[in-house]
Amino acid sequence: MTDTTVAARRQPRLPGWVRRLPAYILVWAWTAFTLAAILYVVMSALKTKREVLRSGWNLPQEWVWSNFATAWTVGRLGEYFINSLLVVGVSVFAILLVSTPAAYVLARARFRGRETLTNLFVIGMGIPIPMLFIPIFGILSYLRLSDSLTGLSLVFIAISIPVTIYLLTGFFASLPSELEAAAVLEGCNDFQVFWHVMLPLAMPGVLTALILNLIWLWNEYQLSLVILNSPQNRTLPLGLYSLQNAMQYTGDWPGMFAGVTIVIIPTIIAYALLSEKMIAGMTMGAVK
Amino acid sequence: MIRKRLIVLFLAPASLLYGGLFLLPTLSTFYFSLFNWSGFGQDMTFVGLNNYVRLFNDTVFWLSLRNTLAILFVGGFFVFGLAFLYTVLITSGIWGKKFFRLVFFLPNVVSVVALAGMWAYIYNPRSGLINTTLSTIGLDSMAKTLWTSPNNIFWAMLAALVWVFTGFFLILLMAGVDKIPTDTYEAADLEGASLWQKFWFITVPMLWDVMTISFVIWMINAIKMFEFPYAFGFLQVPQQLYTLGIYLYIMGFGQRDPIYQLGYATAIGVVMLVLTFVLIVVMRRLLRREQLEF
Amino acid sequence: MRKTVFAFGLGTALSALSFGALAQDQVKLVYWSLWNEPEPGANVVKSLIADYEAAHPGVTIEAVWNGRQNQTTVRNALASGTPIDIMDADMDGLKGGLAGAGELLPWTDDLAGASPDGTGPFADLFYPTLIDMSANDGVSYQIPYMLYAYNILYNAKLFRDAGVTSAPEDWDDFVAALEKVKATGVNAIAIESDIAFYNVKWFNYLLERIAGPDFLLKAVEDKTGETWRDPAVRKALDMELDLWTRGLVPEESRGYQWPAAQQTVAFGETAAELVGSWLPVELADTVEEGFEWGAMRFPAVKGGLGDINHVEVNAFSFGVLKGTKHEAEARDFIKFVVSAPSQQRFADEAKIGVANKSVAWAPEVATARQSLDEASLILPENHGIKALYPDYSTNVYEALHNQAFLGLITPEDYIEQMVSRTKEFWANR
Repeated sequence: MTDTTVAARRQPRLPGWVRRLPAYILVWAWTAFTLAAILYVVMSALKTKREVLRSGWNLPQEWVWSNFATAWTVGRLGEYFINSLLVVGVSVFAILLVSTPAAYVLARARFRGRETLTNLFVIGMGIPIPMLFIPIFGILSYLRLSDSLTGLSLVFIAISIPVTIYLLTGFFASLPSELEAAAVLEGCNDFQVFWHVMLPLAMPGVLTALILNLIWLWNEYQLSLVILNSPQNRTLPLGLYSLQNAMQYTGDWPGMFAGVTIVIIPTIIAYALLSEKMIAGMTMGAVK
Repeated sequence: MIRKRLIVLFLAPASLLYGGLFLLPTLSTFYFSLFNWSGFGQDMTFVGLNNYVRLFNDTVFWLSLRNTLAILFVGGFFVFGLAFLYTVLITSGIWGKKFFRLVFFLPNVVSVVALAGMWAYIYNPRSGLINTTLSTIGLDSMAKTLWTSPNNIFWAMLAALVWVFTGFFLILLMAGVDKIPTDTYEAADLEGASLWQKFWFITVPMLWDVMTISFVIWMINAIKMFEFPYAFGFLQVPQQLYTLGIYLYIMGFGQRDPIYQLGYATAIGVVMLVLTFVLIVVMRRLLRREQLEF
Repeated sequence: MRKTVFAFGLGTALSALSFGALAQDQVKLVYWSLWNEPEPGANVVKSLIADYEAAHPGVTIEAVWNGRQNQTTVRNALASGTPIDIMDADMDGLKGGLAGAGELLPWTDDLAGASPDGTGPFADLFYPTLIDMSANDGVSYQIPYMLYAYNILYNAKLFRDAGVTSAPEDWDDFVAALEKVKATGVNAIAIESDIAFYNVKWFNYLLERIAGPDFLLKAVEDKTGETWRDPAVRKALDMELDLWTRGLVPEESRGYQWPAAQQTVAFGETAAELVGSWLPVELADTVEEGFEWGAMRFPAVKGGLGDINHVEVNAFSFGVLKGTKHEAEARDFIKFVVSAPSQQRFADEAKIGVANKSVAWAPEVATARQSLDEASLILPENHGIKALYPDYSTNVYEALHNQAFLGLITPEDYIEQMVSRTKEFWANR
């Protein structure tokens, strides 16, 4: 009996948790760091302006809850939360509404110029967003939608179409064509094939696109900053941006961290609750 | 099989919105790259390809390009290296998988300014987390390292950036791994395959599609990288942190320095677009060929 | 039933119409602001708007709080024909931006006319040369209202403890004073490594003290770049690098990211910083109770062509946009903002300096104000090159200086690169 076979036999006898110990250590190292980071942000929100600069990861000496009240009222975060919810909700829904059928056709129909059209959509992913700053003002004021949440939604939809179509065409293209053929044999027309057969199969992919759009539109502020001017129209990232700027010029770091905490806590909770569904979607979505 | 009417009906809304509000407007601004224009008033001077010639001779442009490519490749190497490593570890059957997945993703939901504030504290030369920890465990000479000095600040920023993006791609990769039938791994276990062998011969091939999408998303984000390095500079972004996106912004739109060279800025935008497009095409070619092998 | 609804609707429509007719007599000024809404400065502006509207029933002012990148936002909005009457921005930014592009109305006649409080010409309300400095080719397109000076701000107690009782007026005395401060166990000078435009102030001042106020602009405008080989450049560089060699700037400053260094000032660990007079406001809630701010003029250099009374400043300015339909009201509101009572409100609540010279500044910046009163020459940001050649100022001048200042390149390298990059700049233009 050689050494290697002994080793091979012995190994499975080690209890599972011992074999997994290195994995636990590495994963916990990263996790501890990230949790500490989030904790740092939250704790900094509770300190005085002087203490926050030197106490690092120590607990606050006195808990200054009023930082939250200040950030909430001065930053009008309540109002902006609703604006964000509206804009992002409507936009994400509309993005999927227009992109899914388009991606389906681009992936599965046969027509001249299909490749070119697909490339035209894909090229949009590479366009730097600041390029839109100047022309968008003119277009939105022509449509009488400048400085409005509707205008912002339209732009959000337009800029999210490329990546959504890119994701979904890949997804539709990979679906087996047998089902499609069977449905046609049973007398479905092309719309029915899409609606009853292909779309349900594509749902995981649609969900993936939904999540990616949700994440990045929820945090978008560069374009919003250019399009929205009236304080009552601001979205959450804009409110936070303005709060952060003001805090920097007055040295109010706890106030800034308080604003950030107010924004991230509900996001984390929503994410914890939704992540199961979201990731289930991705599981099938991105991977087919 | 799909009728023309349906094709038109399905394509029209997306094409109109995308074409009218994004593609055509931005492509039309690329026309400005042939002009000297401040963006104020009608005063435009046609300069042909001069802006591109100027880019070629501009030290700061090359610096920004180098930084962008460093983020793309060096950053990408670590982002995907770590994302793969942790995907394997977290899916290796340890307890608390869903919890870890949530935690790894968290940096992606926190505002970048807050993250930058936290990292500034971590890197602070005297009272920062790293250096106080190092001196507590007796590594006094290492504790004197200035992580954010001009020669190190780019790499310090990149480390923080890797921390953020690893979580994002971990989610995608884990989703892919979850899709792999468990009996594949069980069969491999029976044959005595090591963790590495399982990763290389099962995980990677089965993950090919999700990897392609992840790479493309990373590439596009890396070339356009703006927010995180910008926030890392708080008041004024040091030149060591310039990316193409930041340089474009500073030349055409930005900050408080009254530079306002819109024509020149759009020329940078054109370069970014071309770069993205070339890389996407190259990636697609490379990955398509690989795909045939499986 | 339907009829009554119709009549009701018609009534509403009619009353809306008549209201519309009434509203025509009403003047609405649109003001795009450089303040962020939660800032103290924005609160002062809000209260001034309320007072102005109360005193002028026909006028309403709508403020849009854009923050410091206001000018870029205004530019984008103007390109699409958005009506804006008044805006504000950094003085040098406005000079190189909207004013330079001819988008603002000139103030020449008003400045020659009477001031809002009726005492002498309007132009005399401001610090000497401030109006000239903000003008484009002799024509004023902007009215400065907030003002800050670059001085050496210091912790008065730490200097007293070290036995330094009077502000040194000469570089050698200054260095000697800092050595004394350092000997008491605190750091002498605070430096933020990543903020190039703070650090370049050392070089600006030294170059001015050695070679006079015109030298920098001359060096930039020399298309061969050779002026950068002038011994004054090397001397200025050596003098500021000497601060590092002597340990007056602690070595770890190379790793300080804003606001790490100014926090050491707030905590009494560092004695002084060369910075604008906004610093006391920024640190107001961070310093210990009773912190005593001092500001000294940048010392002179023996045998140099400059003067201790030459001070570098910057300001926030208003401009009236060319497209306004309410020119008279817009001008009137701006005059109201720079009148002494309004300016006093800025000085008291926003606590940065103000442009109206008759107004006292907040105690924290009183000594900075004194340096301005004694000033014989006021110099614009980076001696004017920021307004004239902003891309050079940011990408070449400030960036390369920071590399030399932090020891990333040698003084020889710095001079060689300044020569070649200046040449590159002019060749690319």
